[in-house]
Amino acid sequence: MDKICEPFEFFKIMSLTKEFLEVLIIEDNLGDYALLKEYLEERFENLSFHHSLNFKKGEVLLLSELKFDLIFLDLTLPADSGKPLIKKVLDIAGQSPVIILTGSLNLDFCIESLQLGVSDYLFKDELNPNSLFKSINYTIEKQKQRLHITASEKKYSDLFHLSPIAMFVYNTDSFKFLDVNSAALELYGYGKEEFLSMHLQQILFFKEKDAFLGALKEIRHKESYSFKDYFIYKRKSGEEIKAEIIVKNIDFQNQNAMLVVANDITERLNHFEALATQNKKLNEISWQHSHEMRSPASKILGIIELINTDSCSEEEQKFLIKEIENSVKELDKVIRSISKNATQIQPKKTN
Amino acid sequence: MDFEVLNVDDDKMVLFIHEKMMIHSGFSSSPKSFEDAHETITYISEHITEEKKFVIFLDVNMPDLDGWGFMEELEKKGLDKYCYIFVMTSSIDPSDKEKAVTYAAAIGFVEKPLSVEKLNDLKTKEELRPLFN
Repeated sequence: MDKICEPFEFFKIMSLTKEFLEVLIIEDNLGDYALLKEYLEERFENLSFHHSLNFKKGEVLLLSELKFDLIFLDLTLPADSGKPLIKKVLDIAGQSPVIILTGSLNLDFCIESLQLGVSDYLFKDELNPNSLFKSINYTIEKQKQRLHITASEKKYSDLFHLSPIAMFVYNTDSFKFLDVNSAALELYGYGKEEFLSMHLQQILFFKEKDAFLGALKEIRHKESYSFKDYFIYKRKSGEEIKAEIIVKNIDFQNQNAMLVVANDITERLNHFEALATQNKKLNEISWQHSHEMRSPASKILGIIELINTDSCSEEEQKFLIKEIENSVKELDKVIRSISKNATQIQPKKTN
Repeated sequence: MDFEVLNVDDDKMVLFIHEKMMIHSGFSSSPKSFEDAHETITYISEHITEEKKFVIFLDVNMPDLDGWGFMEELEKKGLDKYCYIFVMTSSIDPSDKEKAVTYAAAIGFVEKPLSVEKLNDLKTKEELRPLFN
């Protein structure tokens, strides 16, 4: 029993037959061209044909602003033929799929040309409207898928390469770098080519190396891991960078690899350090001043205590009051120096 | 037992206040004042007798020989057993207090200023009680 076309399939085919397609046919045999055109018009309603008799003329069209949805290429043209012709056309075809037309049956060559990037290989003798329609349908769908995959690959590649967060990939066995994004290059201060010729050990400080490699070894079998502590890395200039990292085991071009996402926290730590230093200084100042203030204050309290005992003569009392004045002046001096010192303690600006 | 009160402080004003207060409170009728720790040691070494204790009010922060150095000198010279020392300081640093107890002769830590009330309290201190009976 014949299978009834699914509605979806049906509409897809319908829409394809109505779709506007720009077609280039590179064919020197006018009879073959006419036949192909006829077959195509039998199934497609909105085709725009461009015909060239040799490669040179085809080249002009391919390099023009026209975008072709399909290119039919005869393999035996007056000046060009075979594999070199296929290569020449593919080089300038861009994203347009190329379908080969040939009169000779050579299966090995057929496979070889498909490997070169040709979308389909048709024998002129077996050509009919149905086989042609099927081939075009497959070719266009395949091309859509290919473009979709290329776009999504680019999207992921961009996510890696254009990310403002430093990332690199290294081979888990050889520790050689496999890929790096520009944020990481900036962080470590290397050029891309230079970085990709290096291995992981070269961006670590000797003292940190064992700890780091040991830690990485431990998490080799985990899918991903983020380290709580930071590690110190070496820039090309020899400067230290402190960075927190998240690592992820990935397959990179069939190699066991580790994706490392590094978050530079050098500045944050420097800032904390500056704050801690400032805090310590403020503590010292407050401690020192409390001592300096305590001395005249305790003297004033002592004098008042003494006056309250009523054991001093009038002359002694006058002397004591003078002493209170001296001590208050001393106290005043300390208080002034406190505010002066406090304003001098500003956190150091980090770069 | 007989005792003699010595005030050691580089600030004359403090010495004056201490003297007056001690006389007024009856802690001592004739306290002696020293502005210099070395002088104090010389005085003690020249006036020791087995029947007498020196009750010393010792300032910690003094130039040249400070209170801690003074107590170390006393220990070296074997004079510390004739002394009861109160370490005086205007500081509120608890580490001073901790340090004071490490000296055998130091029997107390007194925060400045000295007052009649504090002096009366000290009279009842275990080591001093026999001196005031």
